[in-house]
Amino acid sequence: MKNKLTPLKIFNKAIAPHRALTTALLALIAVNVAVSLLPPLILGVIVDQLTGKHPSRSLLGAGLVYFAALLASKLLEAVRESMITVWGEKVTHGIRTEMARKLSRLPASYFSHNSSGTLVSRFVNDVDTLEDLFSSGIISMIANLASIIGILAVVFVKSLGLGLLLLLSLPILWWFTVLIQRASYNAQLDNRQAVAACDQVLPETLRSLLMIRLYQAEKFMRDHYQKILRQSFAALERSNFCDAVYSPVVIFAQALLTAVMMVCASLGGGFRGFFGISAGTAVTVIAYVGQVFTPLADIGMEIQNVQAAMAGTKRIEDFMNEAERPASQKQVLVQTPAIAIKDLSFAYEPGRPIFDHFNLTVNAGEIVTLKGRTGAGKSTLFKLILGLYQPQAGQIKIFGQDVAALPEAEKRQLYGCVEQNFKPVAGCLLEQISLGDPGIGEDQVWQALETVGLAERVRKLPDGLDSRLSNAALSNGQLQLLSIARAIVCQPKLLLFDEITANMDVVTEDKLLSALKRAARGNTLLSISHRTELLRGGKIITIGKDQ
Amino acid sequence: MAEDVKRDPAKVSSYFIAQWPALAVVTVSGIIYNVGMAAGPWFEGQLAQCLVNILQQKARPSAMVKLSLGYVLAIFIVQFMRYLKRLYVRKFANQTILSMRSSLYQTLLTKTSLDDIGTIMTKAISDADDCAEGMRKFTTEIFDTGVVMIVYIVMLMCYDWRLSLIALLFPPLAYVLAGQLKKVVTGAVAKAKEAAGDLNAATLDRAGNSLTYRIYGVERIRDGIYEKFLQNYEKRQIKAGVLMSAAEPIYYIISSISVIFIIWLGGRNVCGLGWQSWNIAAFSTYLACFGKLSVKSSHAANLFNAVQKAEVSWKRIKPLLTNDVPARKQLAPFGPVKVKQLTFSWKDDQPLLENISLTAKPGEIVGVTGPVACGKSTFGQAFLGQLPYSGTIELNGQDLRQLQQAGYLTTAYLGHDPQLLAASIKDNIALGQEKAVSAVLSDADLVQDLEKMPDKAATQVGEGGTRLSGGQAARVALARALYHERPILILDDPFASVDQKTEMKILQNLRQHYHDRVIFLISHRLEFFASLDQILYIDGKKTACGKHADLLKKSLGYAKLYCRQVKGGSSDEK
Repeated sequence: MKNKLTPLKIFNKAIAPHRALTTALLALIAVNVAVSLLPPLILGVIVDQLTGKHPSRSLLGAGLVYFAALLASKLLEAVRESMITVWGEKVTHGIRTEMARKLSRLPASYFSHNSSGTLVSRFVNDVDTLEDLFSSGIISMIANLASIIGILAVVFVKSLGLGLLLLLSLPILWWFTVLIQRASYNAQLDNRQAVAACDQVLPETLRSLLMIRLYQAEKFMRDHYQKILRQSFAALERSNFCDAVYSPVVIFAQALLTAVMMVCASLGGGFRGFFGISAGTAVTVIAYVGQVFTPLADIGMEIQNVQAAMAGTKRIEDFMNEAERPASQKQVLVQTPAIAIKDLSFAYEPGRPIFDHFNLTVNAGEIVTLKGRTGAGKSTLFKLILGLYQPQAGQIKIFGQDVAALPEAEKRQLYGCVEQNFKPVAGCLLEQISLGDPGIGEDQVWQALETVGLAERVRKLPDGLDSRLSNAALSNGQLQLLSIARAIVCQPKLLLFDEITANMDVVTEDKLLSALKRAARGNTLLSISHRTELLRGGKIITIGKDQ
Repeated sequence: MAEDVKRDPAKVSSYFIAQWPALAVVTVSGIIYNVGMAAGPWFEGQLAQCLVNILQQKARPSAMVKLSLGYVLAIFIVQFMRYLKRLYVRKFANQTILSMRSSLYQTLLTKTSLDDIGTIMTKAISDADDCAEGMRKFTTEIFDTGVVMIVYIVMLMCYDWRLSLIALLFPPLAYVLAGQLKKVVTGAVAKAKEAAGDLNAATLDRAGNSLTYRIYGVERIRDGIYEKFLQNYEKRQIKAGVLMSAAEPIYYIISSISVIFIIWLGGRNVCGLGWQSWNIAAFSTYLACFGKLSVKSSHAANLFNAVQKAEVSWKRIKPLLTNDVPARKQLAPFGPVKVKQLTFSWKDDQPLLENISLTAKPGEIVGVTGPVACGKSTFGQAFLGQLPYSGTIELNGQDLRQLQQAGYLTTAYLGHDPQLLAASIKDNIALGQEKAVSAVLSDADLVQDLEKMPDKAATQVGEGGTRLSGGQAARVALARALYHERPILILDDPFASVDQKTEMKILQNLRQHYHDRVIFLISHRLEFFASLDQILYIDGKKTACGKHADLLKKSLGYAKLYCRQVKGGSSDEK
């Protein structure tokens, strides 16, 4: 990838297919804010009418109008929230799809350096924080900001004095929100640390139970545990204080503001002109004062989420910017040796070569077994042949083709690889073999099972090929047979076996060997050590330091 | 927490009783706050009325000043009460968690016959948190929902009971409808969670099996399959999200149908045409009050949910809650140790220890050695009372196992794992006892090490002693084993990570200062075995015992082992 991805670009790319939805959402927010301003205004009019000389004849009508305004405002709110959900889900879906595609482009070394747990947490946790940021985070902030501006605008029109009062008090309250937010966040951090210490006491106790009993340290341990618990609660108390104090202070501030406004409005002369409100306006404005602080507090609360999300975005950005392996391309098929390795040099770390100008040719139909002590590079050679790693120098070709550049669809026709241990994938038995490839029919799968001698076993299962792997109750040896079925289902010309008889008892091994013999019929076969040399007169190649 | 020893932690009421001061604050502040909640709407109505009066020049501005002050003061008191209530309810919950966790921990310390106690405890801890959370919500909701609803309903009834009967018709209706909708929402949420679980599994599969898929060239196909999971996830999440965000407004709208009647009939009241005679204050107070009531009533369900959830957790942890303090054990009399025909085998295997017999007097150090996996550690464990061996071990003429079962303390033990706690060095040694640690610190040759540490003996050792070097950790554990005086001291390979000079110093200290104990030194390093009082060489049928010099002649195995190490100059057989 030439251009680096920034959070903004990831975001842009993700919302690009949903431009219409995004625009509709923003429009809806605007309408929603405008409509939510209506009920207090209508209420003000009603009150003014009631205090006026001629109370309205149609009070029922007024009630209906007020209710209609409430209805419209709440319905719009529901629609807005729903649309935010839809929008947020579509955007994160896009990001996850992009990330899954990235997996195919990552080099094999990435997977050996990163545990699947970390990878999954990129997909799940980090995208989740992003989801928060883009849906509830940013959109809510926009909505809240719009509410504040809307309310301020109406209040200014209704009463200039109160408008100014509000404008003055908002920054103070904002400051207070951020202050409390920060204190609460720090307390939570401390608490999390203390909780971690608490959580550590349990396993520690289990580990040291012998010692505790021997030295009668039960009381000491209990006191020790309580001390740590108390530390955690001390931090929690601080965050409790923040929680408990915030909302009362905000409500008190509202009351104070309302009181000041009412006093000013009731004073004669210039003040009245400045604050100029009727009873109806007073009712309206009291309602607004209650409304204006909620979005402000919400924004304050969101800031923390936004920070968390930025960290998540950074990690996704790093993931998307990981170096990629070269793209595969179609090549001309030339009938040549099954495997041709020329002048291969490879090292995981510079200066410590595993292979230095290594050569190997395996002709079609040959059976070759690689031997050598642990760490000599047998498995590395396999990974190189499979194209998982790129050699620093030299060439590896399978039937004349560069493996790394082999188109996906051709791989299984060309070679099958049986890994050291069976790798279960998601899905039923059929999928264990087909790996979800719709091009592989059931008859092909049955044939493969027949070859490895598992067909009878699978037929006996109530759900046959649709059985879940966990329900099939296969032994380790049978799982390994399944692995061979997976490798040979597309009838490849070349079979690669990676120490498949390690950790296996004699009976299972015999079964496996006869399955191997059937599978290898007429095929080229390259395997790593162990018993495969028992197969009809194969060639043995030793890999070692002298290479 | 000495005072709560008497109470029974397996009773819910005990937690409420133990916390009565906090709960008293919660009750008083909760009632004042919730009754006072009515003050807000009332004052706001009065403020509007006062303004009308002033504008109509029926009252003077000073009336507004007074009223405003009253309003601000009332809100201050109410909100201060709210603050108190919130703070103390949380304090109550925290204290509850604290005592529940302590009880659970006590169980862990005393009853450990359960095999998977670790996992049980981890679950129990989260259950304890749920319980306390349930109790907190219950306490909160009793006031915030129960009391406040009653106050509001009474207030509404006082203003106009006929109108209130009509107005109060809709919130319950909304509640019933919301209940119906809730089932749908819960179903959708459950499905969304399921989809999230499926997606997680699919993600793990796609990412974890990446290389397998690559080898077989099916990466693009797997991406397609993954995409289906993503689509399903999106669909379910949207459905749940939309239903959730729709539920609350719908509830609010239905219960707000009442406002039509309030404005209509309440307005007639103001105009003097209705059932009651109202002013503007009454009108706006009534309206505001109703608005708050309908919001509150939507929370009523929380009360039942919280209690239900807590009940489930409570049932699970109830049997695990105890305050039983283990009986204080007595120190067994010091004296000689006699091992007679000690034999032991794991299950039906051939015996690991065969017919071991020896006698050792207090002050003697017995060296125990043998080839790898000969059972020398198992021999040490026999003194801990956990091993079903045959034959006998006697301490001062009494059977060791019987002594241990009768609750006597017999053995100090130091194994491969120093079993250090995340506490200070001093605490790790004394384990809460008062006696000074200086003597054992010097015997374990820790004095020089401590001098280099900023906090000396108060230095924290970190989780599992990770802040100490291997040798330091072993010597702290040794100091602990020496500090707790027991007639028998088992040292299982304590010097593996200690240099020879230190080892020699420690051995000298043991000789000089611990004449009252029988010490077994299990080791595969034999440099100092020549200086020990006697040697036990364990090797199945070739097991032998005697003085070092005699054993060199008597046992070929021991002689070989000794010569290879000491004369061959290799210090470590591994």
